[in-house]
Amino acid sequence: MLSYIIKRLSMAVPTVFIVTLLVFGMIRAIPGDPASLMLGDLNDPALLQQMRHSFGLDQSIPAQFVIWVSHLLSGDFGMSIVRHQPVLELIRETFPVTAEIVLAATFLACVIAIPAGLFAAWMQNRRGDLAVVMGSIMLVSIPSFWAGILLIWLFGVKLHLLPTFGYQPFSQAGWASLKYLVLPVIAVTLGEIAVVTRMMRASSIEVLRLEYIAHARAKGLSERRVLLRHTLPNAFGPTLTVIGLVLGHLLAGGAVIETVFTLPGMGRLLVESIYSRDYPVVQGCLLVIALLYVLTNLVVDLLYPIFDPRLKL
Amino acid sequence: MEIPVSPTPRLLALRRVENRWIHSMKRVAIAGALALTTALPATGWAAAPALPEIRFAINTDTTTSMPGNVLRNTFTDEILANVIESLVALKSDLSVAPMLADSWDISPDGKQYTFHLRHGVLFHDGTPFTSADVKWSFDFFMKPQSGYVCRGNYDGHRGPKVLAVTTPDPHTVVFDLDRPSALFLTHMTEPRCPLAILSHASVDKNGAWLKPVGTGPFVFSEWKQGQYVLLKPFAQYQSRTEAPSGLAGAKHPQADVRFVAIPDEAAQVSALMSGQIDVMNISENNLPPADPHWHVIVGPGADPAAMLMQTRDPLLADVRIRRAIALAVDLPGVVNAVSGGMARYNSSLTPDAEAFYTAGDAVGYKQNLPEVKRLLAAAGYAGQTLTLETNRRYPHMYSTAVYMQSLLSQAGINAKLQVVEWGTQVNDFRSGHFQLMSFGYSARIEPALMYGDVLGDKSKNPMVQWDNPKARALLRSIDGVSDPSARKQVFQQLHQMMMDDVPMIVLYDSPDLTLVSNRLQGVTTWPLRLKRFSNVTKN
Repeated sequence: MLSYIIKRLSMAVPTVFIVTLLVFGMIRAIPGDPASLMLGDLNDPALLQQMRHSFGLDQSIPAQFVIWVSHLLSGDFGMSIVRHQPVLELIRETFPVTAEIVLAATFLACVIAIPAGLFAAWMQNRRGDLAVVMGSIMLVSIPSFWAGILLIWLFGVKLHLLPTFGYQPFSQAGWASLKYLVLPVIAVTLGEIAVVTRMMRASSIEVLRLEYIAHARAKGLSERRVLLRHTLPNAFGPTLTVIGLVLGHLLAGGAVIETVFTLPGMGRLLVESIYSRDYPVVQGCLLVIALLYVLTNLVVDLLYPIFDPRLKL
Repeated sequence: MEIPVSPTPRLLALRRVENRWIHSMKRVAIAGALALTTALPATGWAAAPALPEIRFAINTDTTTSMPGNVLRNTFTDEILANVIESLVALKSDLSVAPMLADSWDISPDGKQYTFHLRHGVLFHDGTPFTSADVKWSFDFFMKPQSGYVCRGNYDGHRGPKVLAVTTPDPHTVVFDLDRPSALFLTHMTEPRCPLAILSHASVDKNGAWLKPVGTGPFVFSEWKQGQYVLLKPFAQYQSRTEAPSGLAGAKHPQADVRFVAIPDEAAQVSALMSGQIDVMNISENNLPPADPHWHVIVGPGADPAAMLMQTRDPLLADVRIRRAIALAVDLPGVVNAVSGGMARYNSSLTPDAEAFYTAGDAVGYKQNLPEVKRLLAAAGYAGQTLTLETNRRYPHMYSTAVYMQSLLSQAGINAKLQVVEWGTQVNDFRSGHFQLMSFGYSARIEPALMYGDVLGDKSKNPMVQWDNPKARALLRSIDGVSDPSARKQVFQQLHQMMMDDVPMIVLYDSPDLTLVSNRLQGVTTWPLRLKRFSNVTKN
């Protein structure tokens, strides 16, 4: 197991390096730089030059890359040009917000979607199945930002039940912090439920057609036992892969929902940094995202044998 | 024909399980809904409006708390306008009024300014304000490491050079300049880089910036980066006695003010409708429906919206083509459509709310299609395509571009839209890589500053839009002229010259639109659009 983990992590090194190279090159390929954006329409060439010098933007791009990578190797992600804060500190502040919402939403989605998918497969082509399939089609058709806006309108504007924006960490506000999470978590969960349900249903249908399920039924096992003991574990493998992908995607791309609910998460930090050409922050965030993908997929692969004993690492 | 069949025992068992499942799901849903509606509302934000603090939505959090720092943005200026003060302040008509200085004398040669300071003024840390603080603040801002964006206004690059700041007594401070400058006092009031008078407590022992400790009506109390800035009323604030006007005059801070960062305007509107914020800036095309709980305040602005023309472009280098473009469109109609009737056509770079605005500035281009035809024919225009660059970040720029493109096409001028991201557009603006551009300048507090940023030599500085040596010389001629009527005359001449050269079509001054909860009293607008909360109350 350990050698597998080491092998997988070492395989990630070239991936992450290529990502850093691409990220570094691509953000600089976008026209504009932070200094000229900060000055906007102010006509002061001397100040512009001075700012570019202080941000290190007057050096050649390869030289900037070498400096960045050398700092990275010593654990220094650099300093935000716009916020004037260490990038790592910004990520440390914002990532927990994203993670809190995404993990809560993923957990909630799994709790709802896995039984729903299993139920739909068991009820294939009957009323229950139709309801689940229709429901998940509807949910997958609703973009999370639109769901977010509807939730804000209903629970914030009309009913005045929940805040429409803001965030307070659990460590500061305790249970009261939950009220800030309810709407964003629901908005994210809805889309996730649809994806996971459909995957769970499809893989359960496949499993339910296999001979050992017929054999289990022939032995007189209850339907509950057939489903929970024999179908669920065998159908969960592919669903786990999807959950891993969704999780990685959400951790990386929560910007829209974070913007709709004004949450100080990493997605919003990334988008704002792209708009302001805050190169070190963009590079740092994308590097973390690449690592997150690698780690999420690794964790999923490590969990696989638990659900499918035929697989060995 | 469908044949009815009786259910098998297995099917009946399945249905029983199905029904049980559905019933238990129903129970879970009902229990969840009950839990949500009973547990959360008790602590919900329905109670938030009971708080006395005023909440103002800003699009982006400030990136610094230092006045005039290179990291500043519009909201930095907005927040700090309530916290810090300078020797002088801007009135609503953008003229200069006393603030921390009660009065000042200018030497006959215009090179020495002697300020007589107010007595009894305290900083937020309780220390008294004296002339030594003025000198300390000036020296602090002039250090390169301060990152003060307007050092050029005082070191000879963009204005006179300050040779010395002396303090003959605690209530007198003298600035010696290398040359007379009509804009010296104006520069001190620039919202993006006011010459703020700060206490030494604003920095630590090593000179590193801590937070603004000024003399303004509000204390910079708390800053949660990316989320909010909280200002608290300064209990020992010594208000001036003149009527409030712009950033000048009497200020009476009433309640805490929280500047809440909400990037999305639609989210800001939702927050205001749900009572979580009390006031926000709003764009013309995002106004919510009329409601007894809020209202919109409209005031004149000073940020000129314009369509720029690249005079170095092979096609647009011909002034006849540029003139044809200006005459091809019903510009007052475009302004009316873009602003929803809340702004009026102003072809001048001098805002119509400013004291320098004259009847001459009101002369604009009038649509004249026969003349357009004649000019295009004379210039040999053969339907070449012109690209009109714009962005979606600022809806008014986008709408302007859409209207202009459509109306130009109707007049026989082939224009196509190019929508780019704002950062790209700023880059194109600064490098001069465009043909036509729908753009918006930020407000300048004196026409000379606006003309100074627009005029220049394009071969040396591609971001200038108007390359006319005569106009530059005319502008330079009033560097040391303080007489308002003489300056007015020059601005009027410059306007006429610009109308002839057509390097841009100035359309209107973006109005100041503010959406305000009816719980607030005292919110007013002014051309520079910085919100002032010192005389605002909330019930």
